[in-house]
Amino acid sequence: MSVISLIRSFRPTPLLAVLVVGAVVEAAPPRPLPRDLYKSGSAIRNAFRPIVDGPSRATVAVLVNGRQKALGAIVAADGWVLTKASQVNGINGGAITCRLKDGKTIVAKQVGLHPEHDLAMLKLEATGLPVVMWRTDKDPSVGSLLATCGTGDLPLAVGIVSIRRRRIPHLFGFLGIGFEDFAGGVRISRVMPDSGASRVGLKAGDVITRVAGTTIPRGEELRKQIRKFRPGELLPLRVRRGQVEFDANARLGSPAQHLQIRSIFMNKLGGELSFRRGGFPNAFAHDTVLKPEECGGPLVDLEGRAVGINIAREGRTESHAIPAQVILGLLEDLKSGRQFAAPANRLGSADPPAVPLPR
Amino acid sequence: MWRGRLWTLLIAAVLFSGSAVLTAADPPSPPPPPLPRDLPVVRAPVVARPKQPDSLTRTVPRDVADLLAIQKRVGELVKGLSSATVGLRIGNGAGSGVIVSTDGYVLSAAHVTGAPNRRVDVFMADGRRLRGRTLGMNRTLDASVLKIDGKGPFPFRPLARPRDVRTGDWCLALGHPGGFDPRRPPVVRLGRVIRTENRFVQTDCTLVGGDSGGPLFDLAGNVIGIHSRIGAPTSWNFHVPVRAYTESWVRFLDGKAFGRPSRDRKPVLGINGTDHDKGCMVTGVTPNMPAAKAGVKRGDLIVRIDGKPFQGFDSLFNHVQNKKPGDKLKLSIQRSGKPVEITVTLAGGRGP
Repeated sequence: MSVISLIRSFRPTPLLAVLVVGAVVEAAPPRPLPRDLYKSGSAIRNAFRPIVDGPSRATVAVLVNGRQKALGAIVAADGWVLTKASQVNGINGGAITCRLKDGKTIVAKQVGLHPEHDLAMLKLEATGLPVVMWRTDKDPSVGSLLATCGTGDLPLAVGIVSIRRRRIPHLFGFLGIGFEDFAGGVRISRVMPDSGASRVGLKAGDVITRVAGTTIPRGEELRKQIRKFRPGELLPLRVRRGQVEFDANARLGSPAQHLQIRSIFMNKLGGELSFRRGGFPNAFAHDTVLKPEECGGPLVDLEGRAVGINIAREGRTESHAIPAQVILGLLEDLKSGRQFAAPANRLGSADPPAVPLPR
Repeated sequence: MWRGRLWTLLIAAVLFSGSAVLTAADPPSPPPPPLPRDLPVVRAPVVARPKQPDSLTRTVPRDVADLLAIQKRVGELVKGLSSATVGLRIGNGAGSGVIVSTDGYVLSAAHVTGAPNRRVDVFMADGRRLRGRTLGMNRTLDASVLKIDGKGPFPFRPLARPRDVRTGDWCLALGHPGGFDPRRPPVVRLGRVIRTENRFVQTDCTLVGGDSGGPLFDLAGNVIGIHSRIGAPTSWNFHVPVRAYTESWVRFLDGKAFGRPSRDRKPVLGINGTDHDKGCMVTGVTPNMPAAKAGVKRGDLIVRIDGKPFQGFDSLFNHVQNKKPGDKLKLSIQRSGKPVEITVTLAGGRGP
């Protein structure tokens, strides 16, 4: 099912203005392909039915407070489930449950966490669960057909490997201001609505004097400092407004939330993107169209072997998967309850104390 | 560093799907040297599609063996298709292209290359940077041709015969989404031909800014289209058909700029929606467009068009396509469970 992105608060462009359009007038327009015959249409996915029969039993829907936030892969029969950490947010998120293919729902607890790969290990009180079968010899080559398993009889969607494994650069956090240099430093010229900047009350005319303790003489330095932080992290700012100086911790957004930027807008054409969709040390890209809550589960080849875990919907053209070999190297540590450190030079998730704003 | 700047430009380019934006953004450049006179004027490099195994042409793959056959063919093709796919940089603009002859003729999109006789940087899949020069372009169909300097031999893929391109064909899109990245070979996507028209081919190979001008191939490895425009659904990827090149090959090689951005008015409704079992759920209404003016609201469930039940957003799109600006469209809507009938008068606008 195609999900068409909802576009609001956006200046209409010629492309947008013609969302429903007509074609050249022809004598007899040829019939378009029926939807079920599209690449991920139901008739095509039906051909994958025998392939996902096994792996879909080893796939769970991960629910937070009763709502599906991700998929998960059962990696050991005694109740170990791997999933996408940032979708589940197991430390300070809500109650986690996993729904199996047979409909059974089991309470889960997050035990291990690897922030850089964005993987979390969940533990379910269960035994004798079906387990994913990994393909360990090598990554699937570019052009290999892949199926993303859900808990149904057909795959959720299918695609091919688009780019072999590589490091996926992390996204910059998004503060949501326009700024300009002036004699006294860097001045905010514009604050975008619904951004981290607007939520801490920054206003046009405010002067940013320091970021994370570093003095900001020019916009170039401000940009450099912001880029050290990722979406979701708090950016400690020292701000001067008139005669008053104050501190503000702005929560950086994901660029996905900011449709004003053309490139982001185009990548969002076609559906929601994962909040965390960059900064993976090792992932291959495939062209399967997924929703953010369809990430975290197994991605299988034509033999039904898991070649990786879907880790992010990155853009209109790409989804990312962490290769099976990388996953296998992490399983034991994650099961032992290890909490890997967040990547260096970041604030991590510890929130600095809130600072009252001047009126 | 230039990649950052590039982004905005190539996106604008695709969005506006005309040369105006790119041309306007170009800095004045010194007049290029005259075109060499010894360019051969030949027929477009077109080949007939060889007979394909049934496993590659069945409407629906019959079994896993058919899927394995498709996978095997794609795997065999990828390397050759990648080496014929190039990244382009022209002034401040950028996009993709495909080499279609051993002596270095490259197909691209008019909104990528712009005016004839401009200098072009051509980035090969292996990272080599070559120089080239733009030849002709057809603004109406968004088609253009350029020539890599020198005689080659260059890796290439020929064009398919226009009549060989059929709805339902499996196809592969290659290109440089987001712009050429030396650490990343051309990105490969699989899809099917959803529609073939005189002026465009539509597929569900997902495209994004930077792909513009890149090739769409059939499973014989021949070029069947050039990436041009996108719409919101992932199945709205529009390509210039090969006919645009084959029918005007000599004019392209002569460096002619012809055609105007289409002024044809296409019927426009002005909504976004998602598929629904009972029709289509409206997720967005474009202000000042016919649907908004007639009172269609976000959250409306459209269950019948002109009295007929339908399924999915694309069915609605197809229905509108067969109308003309000024035509009326009757929408039967469920709003908070209550039936509402709305008649919309379609407006005219630019389309794919």
